Amino acid sequence: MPIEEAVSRFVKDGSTVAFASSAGRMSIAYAYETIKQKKRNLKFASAGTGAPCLDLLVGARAVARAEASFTMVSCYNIRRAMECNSGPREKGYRFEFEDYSNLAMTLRFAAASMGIPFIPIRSLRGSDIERVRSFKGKEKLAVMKSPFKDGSRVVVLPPCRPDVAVMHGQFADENGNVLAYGPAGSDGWALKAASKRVVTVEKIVTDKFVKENSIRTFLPGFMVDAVCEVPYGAHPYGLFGFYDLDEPFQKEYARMSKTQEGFDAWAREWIFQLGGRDDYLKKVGHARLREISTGKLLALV
Amino acid sequence: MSEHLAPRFNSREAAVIAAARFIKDGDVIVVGQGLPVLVALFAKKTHAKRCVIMHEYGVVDMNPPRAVELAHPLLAETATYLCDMLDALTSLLYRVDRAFLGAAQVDRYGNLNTTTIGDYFRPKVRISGSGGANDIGSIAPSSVIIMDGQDKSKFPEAVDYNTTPGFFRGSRRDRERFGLPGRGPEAVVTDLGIYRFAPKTGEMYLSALQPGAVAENAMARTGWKLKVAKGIRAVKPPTQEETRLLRALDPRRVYLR
Repeated sequence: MPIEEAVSRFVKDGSTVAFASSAGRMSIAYAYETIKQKKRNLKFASAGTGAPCLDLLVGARAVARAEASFTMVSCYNIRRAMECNSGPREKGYRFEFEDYSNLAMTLRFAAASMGIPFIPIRSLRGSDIERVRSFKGKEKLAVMKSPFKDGSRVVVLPPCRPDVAVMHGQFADENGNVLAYGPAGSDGWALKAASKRVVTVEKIVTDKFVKENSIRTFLPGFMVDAVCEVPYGAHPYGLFGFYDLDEPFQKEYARMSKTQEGFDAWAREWIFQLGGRDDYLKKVGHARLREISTGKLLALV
Repeated sequence: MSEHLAPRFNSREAAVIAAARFIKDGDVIVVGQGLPVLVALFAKKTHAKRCVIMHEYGVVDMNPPRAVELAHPLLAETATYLCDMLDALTSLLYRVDRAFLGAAQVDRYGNLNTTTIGDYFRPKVRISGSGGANDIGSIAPSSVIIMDGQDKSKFPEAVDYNTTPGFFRGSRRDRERFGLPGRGPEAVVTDLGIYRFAPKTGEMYLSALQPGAVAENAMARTGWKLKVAKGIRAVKPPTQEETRLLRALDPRRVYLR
């Protein structure tokens, strides 16, 4: 499915979108396309390093609320939307954040995937993550005594059930079987928790290749609603076995996104004014893409 | 600069090397983002070649040739076991020897803040949030905190936001009361000294001084009335060879800046 369709079909204004996002599996391309289609009032959910996707979406005023565990000091759009003195905020744009930990968000996705109403966690107790509530209020978490002999008091978390979850993987076949390599982060749980699952991949492969490498099958085809072939879909972040980070690109993005005007100009240049993915790759430059490519896994197919 | 000649360590390098000495050969350690990555890698390349370095996103036994950002594929590409975050932050985390964490603030009782400076709802600075820090600090058997510099804002009486509890408002027993499995922080390392925590209250005190540092300066850069250990030790200065190795590990200055 073309990535344009994978966004327009599944992401509606107000949808909860999970960016499954362990290091190197961020579907930055899906975030770009969501912005290009001017989606609004989205809810964002992520465990771990989805911060670059969130920063793009906040810069574009596409997201209203985030339930997540991690941002970064180089995420200037997020900081501008949250901090009291990092420049003027966009009029009429309000962004709220609910802080969890990485394990907490992962467990919330796991609970949703298992269909259970809540799940206990041994961390969070006594911290300000437990005490301080933003928009989720009482629905953020609760403390409960074990009904068993053990009797200990633990934090319990509500499930997180996204409308759409997206991940960037290495390979998939025409039936939607996804092969993923590298650390898994919370990706599998976020995808399994979601109503619709989209996987962008570097390359579509044959079902013969999948069968020969089924130990790498990350999700079976029946769990995947759309597969999009999007080479360099994680750029400017890296992908295990394919390419490294594009640091100069990331630095330029951070520099531009220090102001809203700067981000808007960056988004015009890299998202709105481009016809599609081919234009993006051409603009990054094929010589540059070769430089960051490691190509270790591409040699398999 | 003269870094290719006989190198003289700077204070950040001294802090990294002092923290690395907490790692023994064969230890299993979990690292947070920032300086902990460099601390662990330095130990692995020097005195603790068989230590296992783990990161919460599912990378176990990483051994990159140089220090790179945590999101870099090179970490996973040099690992021996890859798993998911649920595995890493539960079953594996209980079995590590020690965690290494950074923070924007650490307070009198070892509580860590990596979330917001100032009011949570209208912060002066949004830092990063917990990531896995709360889970690691709550569950890992023990943790060592490495701070990037020391002053009253980084060493306040109480953190602005308690992302990762240490000993709360002065009681080690509170960890038990809250059911936190880990023992909590064992030491804080800065460019001025090594700090440890009192047996009952968990109050931080100055235990050893970094080369060239004096206790008065450490006290002046602390936001409460800092206690100093009787018979305070001096941290062994990094050797030229250690300094050279550390710089070679971070040629692009990802961590040493």
